Amino acid sequence: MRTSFTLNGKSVTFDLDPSMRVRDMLYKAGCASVRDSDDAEGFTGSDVIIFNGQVRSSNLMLCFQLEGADVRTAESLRKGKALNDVQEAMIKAGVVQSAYNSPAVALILTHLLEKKPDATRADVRDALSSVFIRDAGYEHFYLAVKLVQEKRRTGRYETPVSPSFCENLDYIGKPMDKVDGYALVSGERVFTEDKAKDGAYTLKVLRSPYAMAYIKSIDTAEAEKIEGVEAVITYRNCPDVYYMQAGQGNPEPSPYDRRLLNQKVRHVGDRVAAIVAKDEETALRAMSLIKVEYEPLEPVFTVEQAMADGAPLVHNGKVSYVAGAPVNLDEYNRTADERDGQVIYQFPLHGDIRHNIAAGAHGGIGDVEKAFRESDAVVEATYQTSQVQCTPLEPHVCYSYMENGRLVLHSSTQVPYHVRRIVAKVCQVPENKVHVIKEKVGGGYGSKQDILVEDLCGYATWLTGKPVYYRNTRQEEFIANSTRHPMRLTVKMSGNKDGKITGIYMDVRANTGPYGNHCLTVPMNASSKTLPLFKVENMYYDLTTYYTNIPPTGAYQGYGAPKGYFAIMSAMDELAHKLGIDSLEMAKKNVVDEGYMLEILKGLGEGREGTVVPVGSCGVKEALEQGARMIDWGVREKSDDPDWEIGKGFAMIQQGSGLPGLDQSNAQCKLLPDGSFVLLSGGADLGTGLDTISAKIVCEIMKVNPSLVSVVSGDTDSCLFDTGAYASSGTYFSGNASLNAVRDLKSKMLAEAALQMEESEDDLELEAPGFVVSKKTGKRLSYEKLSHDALAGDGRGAIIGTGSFATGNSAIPYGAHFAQVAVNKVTGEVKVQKFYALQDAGTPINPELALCQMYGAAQKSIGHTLYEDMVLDKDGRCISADFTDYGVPMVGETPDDFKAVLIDVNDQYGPFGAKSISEIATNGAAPAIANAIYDAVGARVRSWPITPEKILRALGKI
Amino acid sequence: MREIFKAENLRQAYDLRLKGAVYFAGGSEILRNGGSVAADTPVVDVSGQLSHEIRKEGNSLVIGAAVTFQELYENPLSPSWLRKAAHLMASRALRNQATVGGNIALLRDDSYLIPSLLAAGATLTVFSDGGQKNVSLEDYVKKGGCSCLILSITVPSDVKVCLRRFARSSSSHSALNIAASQERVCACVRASGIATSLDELERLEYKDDITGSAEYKRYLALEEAGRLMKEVKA
Repeated sequence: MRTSFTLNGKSVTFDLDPSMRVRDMLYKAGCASVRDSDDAEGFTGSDVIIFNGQVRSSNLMLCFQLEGADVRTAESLRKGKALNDVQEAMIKAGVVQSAYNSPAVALILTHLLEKKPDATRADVRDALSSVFIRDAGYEHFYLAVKLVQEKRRTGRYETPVSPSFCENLDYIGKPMDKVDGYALVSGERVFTEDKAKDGAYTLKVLRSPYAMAYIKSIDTAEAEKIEGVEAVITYRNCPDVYYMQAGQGNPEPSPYDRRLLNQKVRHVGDRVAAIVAKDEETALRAMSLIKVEYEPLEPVFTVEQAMADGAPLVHNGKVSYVAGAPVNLDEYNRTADERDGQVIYQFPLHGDIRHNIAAGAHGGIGDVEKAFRESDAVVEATYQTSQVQCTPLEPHVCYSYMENGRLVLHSSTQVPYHVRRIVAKVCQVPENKVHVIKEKVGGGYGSKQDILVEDLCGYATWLTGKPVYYRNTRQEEFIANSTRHPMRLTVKMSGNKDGKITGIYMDVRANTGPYGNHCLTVPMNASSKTLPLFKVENMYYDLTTYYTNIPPTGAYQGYGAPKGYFAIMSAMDELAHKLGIDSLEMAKKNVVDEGYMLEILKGLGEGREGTVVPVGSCGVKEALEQGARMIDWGVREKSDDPDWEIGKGFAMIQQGSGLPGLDQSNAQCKLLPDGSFVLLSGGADLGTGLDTISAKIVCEIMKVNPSLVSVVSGDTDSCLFDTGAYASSGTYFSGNASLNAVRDLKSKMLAEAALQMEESEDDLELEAPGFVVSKKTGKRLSYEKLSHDALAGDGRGAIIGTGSFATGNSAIPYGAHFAQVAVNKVTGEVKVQKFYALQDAGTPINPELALCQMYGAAQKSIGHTLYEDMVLDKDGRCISADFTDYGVPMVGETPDDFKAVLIDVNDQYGPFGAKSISEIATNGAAPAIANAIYDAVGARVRSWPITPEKILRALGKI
Repeated sequence: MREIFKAENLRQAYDLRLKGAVYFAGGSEILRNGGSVAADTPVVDVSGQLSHEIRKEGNSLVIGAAVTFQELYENPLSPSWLRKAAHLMASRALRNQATVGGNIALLRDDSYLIPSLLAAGATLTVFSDGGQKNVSLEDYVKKGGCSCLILSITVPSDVKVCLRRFARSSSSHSALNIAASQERVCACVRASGIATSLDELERLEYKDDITGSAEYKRYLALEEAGRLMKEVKA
């Protein structure tokens, strides 16, 4: 159908399928800013356009509606190379992070300000009602609009976007445009999906309808006969290679308990067959012709079901150990069923699959039983956390092809080097045959720490030689992806009337679902990131992780810490109430100080003995005190509606900065012939600003402006190894590697300059805007000449700095989150009126980005606490597998008064004193809100999500 | 590939509906993933046949079926309760697309508008076999809708309606959407049905679903019915 309309101000005519969705047409027509995050659910706003002057979801329109229409996409915002003022302000405000829908938001706000230049906060809130922001929260979008209005009025920005840190430095601790902000906000083709070329084959996965079953037979003959079907991969013809999908340091503390496809399916949505075909239609047709006969098995979904005597076994295969096998292994394997495959532990994790136990751990200090016996009060309660989804706006996606006999993968990943290792393992080739290119990541939050699609996509290419494109549907994101492990945590805590906590015991029972990704490490964090916050002499934890048949679990921002904090800070609040003590005073009395020896760490290593270290830089008390002042702690607020009561709560929190003793990062920095710089970082920037950190480090040390620095990261061919962006490692590990590389480069530049200038190295220093200067003689040598002469025919060669970072030292971020809620006693409704997140992130290198990450993470946790829930039916099918049913928080759920505050603390080990920022921000909301609800109406709800119904039950209304 | 028909007149639209096509006005439900219409169902575009106008007629307000939620929200003729009901749809982009007629025709048990319009005693002008006719919204709901095409909605200008929506978050499905006027209480209860009176609300067979248990919904519905009746009389 010939269709004429106006696209971004120009008349266009296309031959269009009238039933094609407008989103798909626009993307194919070159408007890459028009993304799809929800498969046409009309929820996330990544697909927003302006249609005849109105904001519309292009996925909810068909091409026949375009005739004569006026359509604008975000491509219209940039004039030539110049961003418009809204796009510029969004970068300034720090909201362009993973940025999958940043262009769409820029379009919406531009449209708003065209119609209403003096738009109020309420107008902005209404405009943002169509977009789901998971990474940066909504607060700084208001700021961006304010900046635009200021600049239009006065010619300059007046409101600071963040505080600045480190007065003596030029770039570190100061707001600066994110190095990839321009590309992201303008909608450049920087995501994996943009790299897939026409003609790429489609990969589709036939998924299990059963929560647990053996595949009795599978007939793919009819599917394979279809023209255009290149391969059908099943458990029968896939590589006989066991591995696991968690992107962790090798050897991993997770069992190898799966192949690409298995004879036993272990959750609804598990892989049954993979079809490689010339296009989606052919793949789906082939999929419909695959005949599968299942032998359904009784599933288990909860920890209680999994631990019951005689429970059905999720894994009943042969167990082996790479190291540390128990002596009775042959006997243990006597009852193994071949159809279950194998479980290979790299080293013992206290697993016992014949009892559905994937891993276990325990440890502690002192004598908790004695403490409980001798204390004035003891509380014991069990807390339950639910299964929640990362919901990145960009789903898991991979594009793979062969080039010069090597397998190339473009991937949206947090762990390019683990992708390389695992894909090489699956394809049974050495790592030099695999090249992984991390593209911009449109949201990760941990789920892209796991290699969930690259294994299959990469193998499909290796098998067929064809370029293959794979992208999860949104439903697949929910049912076949990494989620937070549901946990049952029992905390027993004792204390005395003086407010001193005398003993803490945590019994953590975690549900890892069908496979053991992170089955030790995530649950361990429930204890390992909570107990070291307490100056308590008697502490002990037991951890058991169970296999079940729920959708898969894995890494999620914060790992197990948000769950551990929900339990331990709720329990502390319960103890304080029992003792009649103010819980804030109890916190201050029992929280660690700088220099306190963390004996508890001995038993908290991830599968190994941990190292006892003293508490380093620590701003937790300042966070507690400042937060208390901000929220008027101790003052009872009065509601003007008798049905609503107001309460306050808080949580003190900590996390880590990477995994000392396990992680390693590497970087290189090159001086180019003209005196500019390229830094090659192994680190994987997820949109959080890691590349900007590396660039700032170069600028700071080399004394050059950012236009002379480029950063390339996450490319396994051109960059050096990095364990990846997880466990809050980016700033501390990858940042320190960049710092070491730049320092190394500086040292080499000075050495070369000394020879060229015939000066002593000791007399030389670097000077802006790019000179080596002699303090003794005043001689100056430009970087350009320095490099040129080094690279000349008689030169001494390229000047390259290399840096590595591995450490046993911890840079622990601390903080406190405070909440004020209003609770309706009649309906159980909860409104978060105030939420204050105060964090000691050391010296925040990108302070405006840090603030946005705090908002985003806190909002995410508010979602987990109050709204989000993966609900399974009795057969294990997820019945909340879209955004609307699942219930992510939107702008309507933001607290009325929401503040993020950076506590100024300088760390001795972090680069320029920096610590991590983002994961810790997920730890406070659940306990702070739960405690505030109790404070308001006396309802103690100990399970996520804290719904109005649960509150009504706690109040005895139903 | 979905078949698309563009209606030249109401009769043609209606005839196509009888042959299995569905009316397409805003399209937000038909095209929505997870919506109630199968992806290959033919559609008949009626957007050109329906009014986008809101006008006063005597003591009544007449709302064209193609009026969008946002238009209803912004129009100065809309009474405050109707503006509030329209704004229950949280997303501005969806409000720009979803039509009043479409929302009624869907008869969703989490409908944004039906409880308030029922409470207000709204009537519908519809087109069917016999041409145009007026039916009460209550009858339309009780019959479970029909193949007819909704042309407009008429509500008394002077009616007072109080309403509340209960959902876990602003953009998730509501467990209960309830409204009351001096005359009646009406509600949409998710997974349970639409009640056009307090009596029906009390007798409704409440069911569990992801928005809450039957017990919770029943408690909330009856509690709120009482509160809204007091509020509307205040």
